[in-house]
Amino acid sequence: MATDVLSAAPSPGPVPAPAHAPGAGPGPAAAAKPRRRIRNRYLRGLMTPRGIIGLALVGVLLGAGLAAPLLTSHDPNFQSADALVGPGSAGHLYGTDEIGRDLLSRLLYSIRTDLMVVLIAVPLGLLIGGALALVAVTHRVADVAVQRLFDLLLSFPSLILGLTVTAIAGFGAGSIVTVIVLIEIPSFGRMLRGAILVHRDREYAVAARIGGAGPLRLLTRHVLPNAADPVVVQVAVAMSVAVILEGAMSFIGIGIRPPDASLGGMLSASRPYLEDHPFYALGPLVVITALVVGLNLIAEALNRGARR
Amino acid sequence: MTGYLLRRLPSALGVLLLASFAIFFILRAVPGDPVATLAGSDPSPETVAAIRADLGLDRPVLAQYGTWLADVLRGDLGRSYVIGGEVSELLSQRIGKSVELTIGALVFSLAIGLVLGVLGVTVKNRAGQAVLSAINAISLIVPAYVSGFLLVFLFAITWPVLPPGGHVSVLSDPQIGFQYLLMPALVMALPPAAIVARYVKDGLLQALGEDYTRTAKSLGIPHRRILWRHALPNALPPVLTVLGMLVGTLLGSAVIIEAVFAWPGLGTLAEQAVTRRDYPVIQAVLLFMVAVFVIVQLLTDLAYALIDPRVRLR
Amino acid sequence: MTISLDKPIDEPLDDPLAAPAGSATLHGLSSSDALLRVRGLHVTFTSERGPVHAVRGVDFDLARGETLAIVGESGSGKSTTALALTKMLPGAGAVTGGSVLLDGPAPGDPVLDLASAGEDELRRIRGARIGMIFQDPMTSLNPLLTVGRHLDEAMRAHGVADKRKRAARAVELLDLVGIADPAKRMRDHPHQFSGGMRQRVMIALALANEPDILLADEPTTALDPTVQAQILTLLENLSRELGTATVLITHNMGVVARSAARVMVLYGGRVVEHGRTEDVLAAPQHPYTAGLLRAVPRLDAPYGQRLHGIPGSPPDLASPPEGCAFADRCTLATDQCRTEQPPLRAVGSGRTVACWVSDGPLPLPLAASGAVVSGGASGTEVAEALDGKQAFAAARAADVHEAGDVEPVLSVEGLGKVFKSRRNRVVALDDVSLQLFPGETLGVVGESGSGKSTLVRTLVGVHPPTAGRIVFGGRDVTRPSRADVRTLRRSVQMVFQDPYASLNPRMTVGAIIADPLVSQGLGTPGEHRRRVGELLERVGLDPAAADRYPRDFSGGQRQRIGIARALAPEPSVLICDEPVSALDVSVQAQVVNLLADLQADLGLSMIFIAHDLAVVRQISHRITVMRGGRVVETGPAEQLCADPQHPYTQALLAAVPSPVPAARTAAAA
Repeated sequence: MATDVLSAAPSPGPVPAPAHAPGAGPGPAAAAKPRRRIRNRYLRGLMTPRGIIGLALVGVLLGAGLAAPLLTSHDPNFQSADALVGPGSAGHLYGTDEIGRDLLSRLLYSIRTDLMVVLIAVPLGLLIGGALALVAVTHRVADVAVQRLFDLLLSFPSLILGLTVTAIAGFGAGSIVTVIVLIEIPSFGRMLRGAILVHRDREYAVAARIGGAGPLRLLTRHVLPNAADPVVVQVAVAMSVAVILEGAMSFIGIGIRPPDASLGGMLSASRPYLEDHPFYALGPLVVITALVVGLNLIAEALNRGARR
Repeated sequence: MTGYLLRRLPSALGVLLLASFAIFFILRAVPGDPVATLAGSDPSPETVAAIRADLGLDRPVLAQYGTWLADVLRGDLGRSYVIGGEVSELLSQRIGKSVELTIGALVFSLAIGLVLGVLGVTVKNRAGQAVLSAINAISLIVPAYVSGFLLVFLFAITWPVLPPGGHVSVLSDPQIGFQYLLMPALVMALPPAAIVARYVKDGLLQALGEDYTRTAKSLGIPHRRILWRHALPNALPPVLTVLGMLVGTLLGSAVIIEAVFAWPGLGTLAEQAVTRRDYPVIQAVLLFMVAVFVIVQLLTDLAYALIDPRVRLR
Repeated sequence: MTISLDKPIDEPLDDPLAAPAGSATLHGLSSSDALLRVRGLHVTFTSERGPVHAVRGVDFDLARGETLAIVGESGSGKSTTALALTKMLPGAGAVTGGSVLLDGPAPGDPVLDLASAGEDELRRIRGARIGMIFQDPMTSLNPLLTVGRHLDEAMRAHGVADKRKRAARAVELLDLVGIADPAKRMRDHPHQFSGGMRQRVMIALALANEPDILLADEPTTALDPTVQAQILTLLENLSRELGTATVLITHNMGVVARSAARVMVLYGGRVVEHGRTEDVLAAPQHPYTAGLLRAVPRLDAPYGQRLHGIPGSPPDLASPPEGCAFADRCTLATDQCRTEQPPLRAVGSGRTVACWVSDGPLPLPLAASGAVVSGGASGTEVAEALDGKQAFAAARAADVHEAGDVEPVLSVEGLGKVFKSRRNRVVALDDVSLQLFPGETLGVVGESGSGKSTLVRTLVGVHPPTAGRIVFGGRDVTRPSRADVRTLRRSVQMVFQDPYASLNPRMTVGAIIADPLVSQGLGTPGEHRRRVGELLERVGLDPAAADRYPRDFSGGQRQRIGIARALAPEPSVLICDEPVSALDVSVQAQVVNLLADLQADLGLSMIFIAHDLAVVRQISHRITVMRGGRVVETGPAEQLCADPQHPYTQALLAAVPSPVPAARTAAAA
């Protein structure tokens, strides 16, 4: 539910209206000169300042997470004698936490966990949601069932769903992945189902049917390429939603549990030291914000690219 | 109007029933047999059977669901295993506080959203538009725990004008209560406010671009009146729909806001219940939240029909 | 700003001929009568491609109580001119030059220049002194306000303070525009009115404050022909009774002939010809006006005569041509035309033309009743003389089949289609029977809601019928088997109404045209490429178009692409669903001609659906008239139009506005 509203926001709306040429006559075929070198419209969108900043933010953090073992020599769970030392002291580039663990390596390993969860969960949600949407648009009875399923999943606010799943399946990355998948299924599914239904009734799709296109060709060649835009944008949005949710679940203590490092967990642990050691909270705050902002910049860049 | 209500009611009840069924089975699917917990170690088969009969676990699942639903409808939500006490009592202690927070957040998000949305249409210069869209984007995407931390750091630590957390009821002491409410409600309201703003702005832009707005302009009706009396009513129905959905967002974010600001509401209760695996409490909180959500959706649809005469005909 | 009458009026620099003294006849009248004087009006839109000069120096005068028609095709700047008068342009547009001088309400009152007036001044003018009616009555009224509230708002904005007085006047107004039971209908919302009724409400709104001027922007274009006639009559009567001056913006020469005393023809944002309606329509002096008149399908033209399209498409006003905007499409154009803009010059009383070449009336097609030919050699001769291309009048008349003569390719018996939704049941087709013979064109005519579009979709198998039979090539294909579907897809193809919506925006033109071949597994990729090139040439496009996307093409060109796609699998039956209703007259003629040629050359059997009887008559052998889902009348095209049997057909024919001025029709009778 919650995610549905969030995702509804930056998406381009279901129908990219055909560019009607009003008023001033379209003129003799507005010159076919190649305007840009990049042919793919998504890539074209990404290669704008907005897209590049987004990609850079996410890319740097992803790289840092993947290269965590190379970037730091400290074990994220090793408790040294120096608790809550500031950045740079005692060989800890970014200080230590309340029980003397190296904050930098905990931060890097958190990113790693976070991105792993996101990169598994979002594609899975897309896959299942997309498959359900395809089933829904082909069978009338299945459509009713799938829609009720979506309604049901959407009637749980996202964190409430998080609590529910954790209550059943216990703590850990598995539960977080499940929650994200359950949230993304109706979000992707509804969006794709709606877009397919809209485009399937468009005149060009009717024309393709009369031209002899079978259901498969109609879907793959005519409907999906036109219906895909909002879904592509939604992938980036869904990832940012997933980052936020992973943080939230770990923050309230139902996601990744200590001693394993997580962004939300670190933030939660830093709460008592906000006044005296604000640098402790700063790390996870900056990382989460950068990831979320970066992913949303990518979404917006894709969206603009698609609308061209 | 009544006819419309009667047409919409079945599907709302359907979702509610489906959700209650799902919630009931969540409990049944939980690993760890309650019988094993109650019967102690190494019980005899007779004891197990007796406890099962006592709990009604030997009856068909649907019958058990029926009994449970009947109990719930009578207000009997069972007893808490871990936290202790009647679940209904636990719930009623917390509901008021959550309602206070949610209503505060709803009011904030509507007010901020309307202002930002209308500004988005009336502010014409580029710089102003850029500032507005930056505010919108930041409110929308920054997670509540991040903005919560920042506000606490700014207004409770660096410049201590507000309490960093806790709760005093607005009803018992409006002034102090409001100080406690301000930060959590604001943080909670930010993403919904951005969404409301976006819907208001898009709705207004669309309405202002419609032919009927041109008609109104051609009749010499003042711009201000066109904006507020002709365009805004047309922009509101989608806002109303999204507002219904936002209540769900708020219910969800309550859990995290309450954790950041140590607000003793339903969210905290749910969190405690889950970490301690207190199933009757979890079940009750879930049921309550889903019910609220479904009812709000229904109310939204009704309000929609009230604004737009065409909807009633469908 | 206000200017008193005795001061000289600032003139736009780029139009030296538009001096006020002595040359007032250039704008149609002596300026002392003028209620509204427009001089050197320029409108520019900002766009991604740079400024678009939509209106480039338009001058005209409007006297109290007269009706002036502004005619042009899309992109001519006619609607922009109307909107610019009261600065009602959409966001990206602005008046960038010229003046719009409106006389004071009473003699001796100061003149107001609307082009430089502030928003507050304009607001007091809009609705009070200048009322407007727009094209689409379905969207021009606020869905959330009652009709009474609309009228109330209009009067409230101009200082009618007493609420009861406003209500009483509102009832009066609704009664005036012919709405029955006005006191009760006041409380209804727009969606409770039909299109024609909504347009009546719009007229009531525009006249609520008794303006001196009514700007009617394509007021009847969105309406069915029979309703169109009623609305025009209402407008004529009201403006006569109330003494309102009317500026009628339209693309329809028939509407001009019927309703306007004077006409101004716009092309590429400039006035090309201006004068009394009967003079301009009967003896046009600008090649564009003449071309436009030739392109209009007319019921009184010889049957089977080719339409005369104007080749090419309108200029791109983002980079307006140096010389005459029409030079590129004009057969008479000289070098001077291409480099120098022709000024408007007076060529008679109240008559002006902007052309370097023309020095008198230009030829129009023979159209008098005496010239109608009934087939045989003489018909061919006339048509040849007119166009130089092989005409098909005689062939057309001879080709008309009588039932039972030959086996039909496609026939429909007792076809019915009912749409059921949860709440209601709509009978879209009711016992429709028709036959399509090999090599003939069957025209299907009807207004909106007649079921003609449903018929098409049922024929091509998009909607299965709920009753009756469809027989194709002797086989019952009402519920086609897989094999039947394969035959049908190959043999029956369709051309759609909307040239924008019917082409997949994500595919190249080549892929679009080859799509039926790929779908049906006909030929290899190499053969597809060759066939696409062939087809593009066949429909009059450059084969290089194959690599481009639909968005690079104009409406007429897109429609040609749609036709090429339909022809790709070499169908024997072509179904055209309103293929030209979205196109301008000059382009419409090109497409109609193309379809007629293709039909004749390829021996296609064609179903041609439209709401305009004049177009259908030109292209069809036989015509079927539909109404309310039923067939009303079927017969040979010429006979049906000359001697309609059913009252509805008669009404349809009577409603087709002919581009012959009323005065002349009266004189001839």
